Amino acid sequence: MDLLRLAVSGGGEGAGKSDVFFRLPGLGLEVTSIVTTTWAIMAIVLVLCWLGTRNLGRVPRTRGQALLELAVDGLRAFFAPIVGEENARRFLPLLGSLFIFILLANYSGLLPGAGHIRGLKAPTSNWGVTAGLAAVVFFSVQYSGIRKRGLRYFKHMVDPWYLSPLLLPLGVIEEFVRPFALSLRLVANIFGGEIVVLALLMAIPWFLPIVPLALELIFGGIQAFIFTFLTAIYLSTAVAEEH
Amino acid sequence: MEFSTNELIWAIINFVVFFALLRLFLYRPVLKLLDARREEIRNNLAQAETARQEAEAARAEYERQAVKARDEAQAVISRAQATADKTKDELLSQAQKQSQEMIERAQKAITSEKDRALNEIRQEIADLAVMAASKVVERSLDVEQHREMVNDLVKKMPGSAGKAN
Repeated sequence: MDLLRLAVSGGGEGAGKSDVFFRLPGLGLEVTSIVTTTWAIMAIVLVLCWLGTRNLGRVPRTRGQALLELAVDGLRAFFAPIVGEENARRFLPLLGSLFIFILLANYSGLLPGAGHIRGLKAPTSNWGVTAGLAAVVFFSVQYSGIRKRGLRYFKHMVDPWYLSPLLLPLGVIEEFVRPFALSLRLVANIFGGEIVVLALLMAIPWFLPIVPLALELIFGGIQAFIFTFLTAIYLSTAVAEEH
Repeated sequence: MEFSTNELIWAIINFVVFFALLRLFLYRPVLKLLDARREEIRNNLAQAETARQEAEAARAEYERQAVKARDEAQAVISRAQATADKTKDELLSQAQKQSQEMIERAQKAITSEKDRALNEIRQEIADLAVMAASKVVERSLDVEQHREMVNDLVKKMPGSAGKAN
């Protein structure tokens, strides 16, 4: 049970400040295990991308290029039916980056010792991180909507003008509830998943922890997918012209 | 489950950096490449279609010419056949005519030669007969009797006096 309590408390008792590696002078930002894990994920992905696209040929020369082409085209083809061909292309960098980022952040929690050794902690198990991602989504949606449609983007909040006293607050609230729900859904699932895995591991410690790990693999994938999928829908609604 | 503003700010910074760098190192080059490849494939397909149509047209033209050539060759052959038939008929009739003439000439020559030979033989026989007769009678007949005898003899010979038998 100690292990479970450990997990629920989020990485050790009194973890609060002991997790800080160093503080950025002036900004007051602290580099924690979550930040270092995020940096490691970013570094790995970016280095792989840099290596894979360093020497692109019209005919794929390397396995890396073929794999990256497959990933990019696969993501594009995946989002195309949701947001349309044109939007899929325009939003691919944002949606694809979100998906890769969240997926790997979720999976980093599956590494041995994640959450218990210094410097390694699943970023998406912290609400602050998912809230940050949701904030990015929020601003991206607003920016895309206003950029594409100008002031007409806000029209749906005041459309039958006589209902606007009711619709305007509702519309504004909705815009903020969406990212809030997005962030909470992700963090709760990943956090919950970690606890479930931990509980299963404690219940059957003598089995290979393959079943709970496989479960967590599925959770992580599904949550990354849902977050990105909903973002795609918000974006496409924001830029869609009303009929 | 924790919430810290520190992680929130870091997440925004980190994600924006991640997004920008991925765009630079992944999406932009790969999408550009995929577009270029799509464009190239489209162009190649269009070119292939054009080439196919041209080849089709060339084939049709070739077939048309082949048919034309065959017809012309047929016409030439027919003409040659007709000419050959005509020439053959002409030559045949000419040859028949010539051979007929040759046969007639030969028959005439044979006839005259036979008459001449018969006359000579007659003369010869008369002389021989006189000689034989004089030997038999052991004496010379006088010339008048002689001639009379021979002439009688000749008259008694069958087919005499230029009448060919």
